[in-house]
Amino acid sequence: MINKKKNILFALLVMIMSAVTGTLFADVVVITNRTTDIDSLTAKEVKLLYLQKKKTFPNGVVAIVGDQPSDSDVRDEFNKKVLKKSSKKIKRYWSKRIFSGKGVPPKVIGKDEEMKKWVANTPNSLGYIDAKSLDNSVKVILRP
Amino acid sequence: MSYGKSALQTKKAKRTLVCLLAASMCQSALLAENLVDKIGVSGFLTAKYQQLDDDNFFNGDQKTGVGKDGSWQDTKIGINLTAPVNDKISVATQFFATKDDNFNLTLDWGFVSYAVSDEITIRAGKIKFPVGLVNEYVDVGNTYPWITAPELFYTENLQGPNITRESYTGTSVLWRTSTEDTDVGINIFGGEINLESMDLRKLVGISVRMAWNDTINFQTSYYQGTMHNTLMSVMEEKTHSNLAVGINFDWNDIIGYAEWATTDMEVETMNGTSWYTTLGYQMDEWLPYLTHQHLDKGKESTNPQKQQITTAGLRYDLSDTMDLKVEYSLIKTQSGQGLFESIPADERANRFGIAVDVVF
Repeated sequence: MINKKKNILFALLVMIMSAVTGTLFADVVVITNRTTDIDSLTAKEVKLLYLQKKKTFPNGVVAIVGDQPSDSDVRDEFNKKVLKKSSKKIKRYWSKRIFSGKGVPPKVIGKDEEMKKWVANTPNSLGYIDAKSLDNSVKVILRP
Repeated sequence: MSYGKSALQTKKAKRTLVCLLAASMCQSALLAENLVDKIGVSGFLTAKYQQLDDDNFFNGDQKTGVGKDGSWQDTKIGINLTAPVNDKISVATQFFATKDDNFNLTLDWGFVSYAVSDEITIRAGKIKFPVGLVNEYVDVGNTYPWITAPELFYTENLQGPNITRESYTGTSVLWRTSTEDTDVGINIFGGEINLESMDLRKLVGISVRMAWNDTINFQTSYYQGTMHNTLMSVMEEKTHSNLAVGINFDWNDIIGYAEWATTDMEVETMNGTSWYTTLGYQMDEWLPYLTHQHLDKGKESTNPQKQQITTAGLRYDLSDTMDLKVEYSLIKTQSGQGLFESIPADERANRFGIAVDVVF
């Protein structure tokens, strides 16, 4: 009986730990619409598109880039793994561009479910979600 | 009968008109809704208080300068609107109000951009002057370390260094390319600048910018134009030219800026050289920094201006978009008045400042 209780407690602990680590270390994947004529991008190519230093995919088609809201854990992970900048530096980068009229940041679409829906319905779109939310409505273009 | 037919036709015509109006109103409402959905709105605000220990006014007069009684000079707010028209065309504009101008709302800049390709953009309208590392966002305090961008380089008035201007009216062709680690941009611009003290016409210039990994940024520029409607008749129709070079870096939490420029107006009292350098170290939210500025104007004239400012400052980031800054500056005027309203009695003057910057 005591062993059974211990096992249940251990299982609960494992579940809590995995939930916590899952939140802290979201496994981000970069996605695109299934009809996009590109199968993969490098992290640096994605970075250039998100910082609007490039506006087109390597095949010359304009990429429609979407972002997650600033309170998203997946966005923090994406900033760290792909943009390789802190949120403060990203804000400052965009301030310089916005207030000199040189560009605006990607549109904030929403968290995983909204992002997935938007990418699935928008040709040539580019977004990112937690790998756990992935299904076949979208195409993975990078696993950073 | 004919009246009846006419009345019927009138009725039909009215109904058609009402239907058309309703349809066009619905369409306008939809378009307006679409437009509102597309417009990006951003803004910035700076509140600053500075005080001098000298019976003089710095960087302005009794109303707009910093004096012994303290001043909220250069407290300001800006609102920025950007609307993409389609994949190629976008319109961007910025409105600005400052205490120095009784918070009268003015058009800071506003222009239309046409992206010819991924690398070439043509712009036309009122455009920020692309000379100096920070001039295109010089009023947005949150983007740089200082309370005010170095005055002996960035001030726009007749007594000042005459390097940068707020904006010009005209056009520019912007070419930029980015590889994985490097960004290169060339901006060829032309038009005219209208100031209270003069107009600069037939303005042409080029600005070249290179950046490595967003860590080191280098910029050089050259422009020239012809001066008209000047306060000093000796400057009329003379050529105003300027060469500027600048570098800034943000490497391993070490932050640095250095800029140098020389201005030639074909008038001995107005020709000058200006430079500044800043070094800071970012420790989490804290950024202590030191700046030294130098202005040498009219060196070969009978009225030379030589002024230096040394500043010790501290910036604290309250959040990703808001900061608090404090500064102490020693202003040393070796010759002439520099940016003072009149020639100072003492060679040295002290200035204290505190500021809050926000972007939203």
